[in-house]
Amino acid sequence: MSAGFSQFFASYSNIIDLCLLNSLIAYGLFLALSANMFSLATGGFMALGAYCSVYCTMELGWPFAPAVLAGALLAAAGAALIGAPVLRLRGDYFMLATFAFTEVIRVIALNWDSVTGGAIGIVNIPRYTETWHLALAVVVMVYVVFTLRRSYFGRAIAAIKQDDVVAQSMGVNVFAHRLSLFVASGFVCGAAGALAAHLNFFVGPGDFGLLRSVDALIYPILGGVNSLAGPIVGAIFTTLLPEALRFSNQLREILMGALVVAIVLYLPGGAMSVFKLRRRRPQTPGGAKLAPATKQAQS
Amino acid sequence: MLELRQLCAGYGPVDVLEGISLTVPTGACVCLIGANGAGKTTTLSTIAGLIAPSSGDILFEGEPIRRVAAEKLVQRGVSLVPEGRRVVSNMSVEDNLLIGAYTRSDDQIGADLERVYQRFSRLRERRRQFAGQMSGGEQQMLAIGRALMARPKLLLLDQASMGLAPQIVSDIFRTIREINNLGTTILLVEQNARKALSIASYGYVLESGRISGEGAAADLLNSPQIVAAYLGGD
Repeated sequence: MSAGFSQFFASYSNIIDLCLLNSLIAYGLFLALSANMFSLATGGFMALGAYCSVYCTMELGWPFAPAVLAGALLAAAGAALIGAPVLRLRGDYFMLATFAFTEVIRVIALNWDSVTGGAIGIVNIPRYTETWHLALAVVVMVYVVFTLRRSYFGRAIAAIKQDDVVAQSMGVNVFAHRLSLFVASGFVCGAAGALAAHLNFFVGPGDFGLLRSVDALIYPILGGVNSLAGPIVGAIFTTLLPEALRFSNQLREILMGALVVAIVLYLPGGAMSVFKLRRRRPQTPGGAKLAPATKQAQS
Repeated sequence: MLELRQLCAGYGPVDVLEGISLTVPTGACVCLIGANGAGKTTTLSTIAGLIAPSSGDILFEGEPIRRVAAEKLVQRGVSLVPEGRRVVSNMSVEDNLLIGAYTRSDDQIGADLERVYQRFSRLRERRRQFAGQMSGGEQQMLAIGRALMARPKLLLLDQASMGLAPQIVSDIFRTIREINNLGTTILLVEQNARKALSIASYGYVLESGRISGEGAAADLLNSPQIVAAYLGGD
């Protein structure tokens, strides 16, 4: 049994690491999405975390843990810095502004040769990240999100998500809550970037662009933004699907796109809402069509 | 308790309110009646700090509050029951009520929750349910209960009767009356002018962003113009 497991693990450990890493990113985005912040800053945050931590381990000779922490903190600082102006924007403008942040970071990475290695990137990064690091990080995130949802803070966030104005007239400081979630999201994405850099032996500016940021948004949306397990489900599914579709690269892209459209159209609560519907049906005969009246108040 | 002085406010460059002055004495129940689009909701939103006034003053307990943020006003004792109830539909009834106590950190929250449940027994029965699954009347009770959880000195009620069955409307107005009798000052905005004037002590009539009339509620109920314009003269 255990021999079988270790063999399985040996052949699939790369995929497992990737699933865990993407789950971690998914929870980072989950934090932002829980207050309706559709952030495309993920790539930028990850780049900050990655380059900073690599600089710490390779140039300064720091141990791994403080290097990851430094990367995460730098990304969080970046989030705090852009958060103040950017969070005043609404919906699509917020998205554009966060995308611009990711682009700015990418261009800096491309040109700051002495630190980032420019277009060539940094190679031969020591592989410090181990599977249990990633697993631990995901477990910690699940615990944090779980606790958060049950707290006073979590209730305020839920109110903000549905209706800013009501939250405000209940005495919730909407801006401060959004900012703290955005900074937390930056911290998690920065840590994920640091872990990713020490997993892949290599970082380059192309790793953290728009594609990265959009993928990161897709994980929790696909899995479900209202469910604790949603981000993991979305991340693992999105990571495994390309492996299953290895035989055709085009088909993979088309299928992913179609899937996202289908989920958004038919399961706006994400894949995890399938279970919720089934559970609720017996209690409310005929009342299962709970209109998610979430969107009305955002305009 | 509350005084508006020549208050102007609106959305963007256009003012909806063109110089409103009114007074709500401590302990009173004052109503503001008017037709659709007269500026009733704008008035309440401005008092609650959700809209910044373009000119004029708002005094609460003698102090100017026009630059105070909405969330700070809740702490000072101003609570708004918004138009259309706006409960958080995918959260349980009890969590909705607890959100109302968000600014408080005292140990009386549990006792106040119990008080709200005593007033609205329907809410106790449904406290684990999603707020969005309740009827309009129950949601209105929840919205009022939620505002009470902040222990307001001044309760602002925006069209509490809107879209509810007549029987429920009577219940809601009776409750508002009781809340007022227990010492909470109330400013009530209503299209249902007859009901509003029947529980208020004083009334203002709002017409296209201006106060066009005021008086003791009983006088307004008997005034021929008011009867003709707002009470469907019978």
